[in-house]
Amino acid sequence: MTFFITTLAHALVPLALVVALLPAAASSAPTGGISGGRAVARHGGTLLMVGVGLILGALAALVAALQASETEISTLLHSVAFGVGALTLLALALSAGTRRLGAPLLTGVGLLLVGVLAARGVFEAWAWSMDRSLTATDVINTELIVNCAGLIVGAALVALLAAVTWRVALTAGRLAAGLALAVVLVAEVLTGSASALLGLLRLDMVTVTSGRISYVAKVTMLDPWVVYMDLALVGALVLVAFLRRPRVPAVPAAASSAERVAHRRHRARAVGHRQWRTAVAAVGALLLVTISYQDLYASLPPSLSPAEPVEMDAAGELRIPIDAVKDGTLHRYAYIASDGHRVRFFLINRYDPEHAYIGVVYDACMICGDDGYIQKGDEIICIACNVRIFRPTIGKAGGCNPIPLDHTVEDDTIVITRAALEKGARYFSEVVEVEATDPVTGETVINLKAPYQYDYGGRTYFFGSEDSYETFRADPEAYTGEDEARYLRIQGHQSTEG
Amino acid sequence: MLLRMLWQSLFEGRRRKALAALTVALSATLVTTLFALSVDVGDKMAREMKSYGSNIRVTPKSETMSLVVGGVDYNPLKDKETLAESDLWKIKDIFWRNNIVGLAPRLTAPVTVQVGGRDGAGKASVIGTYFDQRVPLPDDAQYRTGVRTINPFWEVAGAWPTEPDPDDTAAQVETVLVGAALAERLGVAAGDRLTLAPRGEGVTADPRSVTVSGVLRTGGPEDNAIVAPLALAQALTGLAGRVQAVDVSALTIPENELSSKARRDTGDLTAEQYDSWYCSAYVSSIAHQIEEAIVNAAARPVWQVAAGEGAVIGRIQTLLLVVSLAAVAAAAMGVSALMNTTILERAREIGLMKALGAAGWEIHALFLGEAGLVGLIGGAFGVLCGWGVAQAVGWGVFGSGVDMPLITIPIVLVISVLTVLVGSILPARTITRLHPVEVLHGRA
Repeated sequence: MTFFITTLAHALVPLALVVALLPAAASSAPTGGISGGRAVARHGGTLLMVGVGLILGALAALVAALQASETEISTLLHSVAFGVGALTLLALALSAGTRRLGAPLLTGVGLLLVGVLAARGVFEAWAWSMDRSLTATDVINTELIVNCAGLIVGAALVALLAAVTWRVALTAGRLAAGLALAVVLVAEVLTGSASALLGLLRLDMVTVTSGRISYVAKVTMLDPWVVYMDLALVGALVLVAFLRRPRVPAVPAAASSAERVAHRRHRARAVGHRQWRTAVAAVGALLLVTISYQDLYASLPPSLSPAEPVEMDAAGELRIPIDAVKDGTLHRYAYIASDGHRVRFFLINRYDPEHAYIGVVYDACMICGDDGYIQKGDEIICIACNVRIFRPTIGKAGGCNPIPLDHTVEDDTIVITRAALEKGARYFSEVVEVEATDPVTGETVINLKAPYQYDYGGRTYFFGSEDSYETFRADPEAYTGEDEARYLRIQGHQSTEG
Repeated sequence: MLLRMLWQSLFEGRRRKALAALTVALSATLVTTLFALSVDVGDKMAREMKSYGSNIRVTPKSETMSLVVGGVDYNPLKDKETLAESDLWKIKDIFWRNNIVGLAPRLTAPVTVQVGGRDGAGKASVIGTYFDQRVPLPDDAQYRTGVRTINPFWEVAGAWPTEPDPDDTAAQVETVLVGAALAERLGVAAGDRLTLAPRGEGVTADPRSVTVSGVLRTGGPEDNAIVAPLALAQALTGLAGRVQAVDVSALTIPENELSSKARRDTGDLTAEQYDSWYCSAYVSSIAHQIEEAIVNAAARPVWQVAAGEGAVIGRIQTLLLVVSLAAVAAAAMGVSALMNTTILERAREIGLMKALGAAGWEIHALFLGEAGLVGLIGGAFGVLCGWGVAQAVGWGVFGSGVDMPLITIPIVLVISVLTVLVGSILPARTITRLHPVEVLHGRA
């Protein structure tokens, strides 16, 4: 449910803010008086544009789904939104200079922008939720109802935000609304330019250069934060409106009845303003809580339980007593390989504590990589692909099972050698800073800071100088000594005893 | 202020409001009943689709040919084609072999049963299967599997039968289980001796004498059969080394769009999608790999709810929705008439409020708020009655109570309030047209 609310918020909150801020920013009076009927009549055009935009966006999504042309249509929408957004920004700057010319222009271009943003919002919401079905089956069920409710609540919240922010923006005044609108537009133009450029790059309409890629990558990082910035702007508007709230002058004891009537009117207006501010704050806070819950908590992948660091004894062996690991839970360990790779492995009893039969495996999968496995209740789950691993098979190669780790059992102890763990180091991508030895000169270097490094047999060697690097490269085998080549994931399962 | 007025006016015209609430309650009862039945099945189906374990039935390919005419199966190969028992280990040799929890073959032999020491014989069938049989695998010679692994909920009063070791060809099956219903019919208990004689055409196997080791209760067709180690059924049918079907239990991941696309036709998938589907533990990809591994076999996921109640509800759910809609529309019309009278009756009150400077929306809020409360009360009654009716229908039709999904309560309340509000829209428009002067003067 929160996923759908969040998706709608990410896609449509910018639109809501543009709709809410345009009238105040383009108004002729510095502080807007609220004149109900006329204002509503003027907003008929905006509502019409929103409606047309929503329908166009839905049509675009339909065409994209039928023709499988998602990239083309999204690029088109982003480009148009970028262009119209930039135009609106220009009109806003112009209206700051000359109101007479700027304000009508801003209203006109703004209307167009509203339509374009609505179309893009619907399309994006569709694109983001494409892989997320509303329901697992066609028969009406709880999940379907809850998810549809999520869509309705999300759309209602965004619409409500637009409506209440519009009133508060009028109180906050032209300057504040104009500034807020400028910030919203700059964010839209910036992220829109990156999305449009990314689409053009994908469609091969623009040649790929590293500068463009890096621009797209950097700006796209901002995308998820735009909605938070927008909500912060709403908060700031509420604050400005609070500072500029209408004050009620004290009424003298000997006031005439006409003065008392005026006083009561003042008070009614002040109460009205307060209610609008409260409404904006409430809607904004509700949206903020929902999307931050989804973004920062609910959508996060499960995290691994901490791994216990291990040290080898003098013989280069790690000895783990079976009694310590036969309780049925996943015991994760981490070993730092000679070149800094952090090798995670875990031990788990495949049967019950009376029948200790320990699986000894790397915390990595041959197919999915080194995301690792977690234990949820009795189940062992591969984080990457969500497959449940049948516990009695842990230690056997195949499917999405963890990669078996060579080991021996001596009496009641499991013995894992340093050589076995070193061989699997390349299954893991995480590298920590360690001291390594230059194989040629024997000097000590820090792996992450060494000026030269060379991969040989799956092992990374670090060098203190170019000389030793070249010497090594000329004849690696003279220096690698007894280091065995490491396994690589691409080679598939190596024959190991399960 | 508004709330205070709402509270005071709520108790005016109680009879009419009770009538309106009753109208809403009637429609809410119907909606609750239909929703409770439909959503209950829908939830079960969703749970099945999203579960992490599935059952797959492997049969000979010819079994899946449909030659049903007028309810009679004319497939000439029905029950004639079989699979080789010696192929079963291949199921544990597919890409997702580690996700196969267990498997149990099936071979049915029609027999006549004679209970030891008594005269007369009854007809029954012997289902041959593995209980906890050793199936040597290339990488695990001690692998054991059978119905005790894949059907952990089977209950046995007594002991499980002993199975002969596959390497020991001379061993004979001595013990069997008897299904609870059949045991009652034959009047046998654990420890009794049975003589089983083959009943099929052209089968010339010797009758076998066995001991009942226990009584089996499964809730399925096994309750009406003798369940024996596979070797016995093979001996009684003369089909040595053959099985008719294999039930496989696998750990899978929930179905999604990719897997349903693959289920329609794997040919529709792009190469990339095919790889990702093949390397994901969907029940459909595991079934596909079993078909690849065993020549001439068809593997189908068994969707219990989807194939049973789900198919029924799926077909009539549009009907249910239309009936609900009709009920809601009827209730809305009833409420509309009642509302109209209320507003005309309270026209003077409205005129007074207008004369005192009440805005149009405030009067609307008063009347609609009142209507909403009536809808809420009616809806609450409807939920209670609907729950009762759903239980009655459940007991009458399915022979069990219905778990009313909690989502029904908010949904029915929302629908009830909407019903009343929709019914009030037209009458409320009258409010705008009332002129204070006219109504206060008594000429409305």
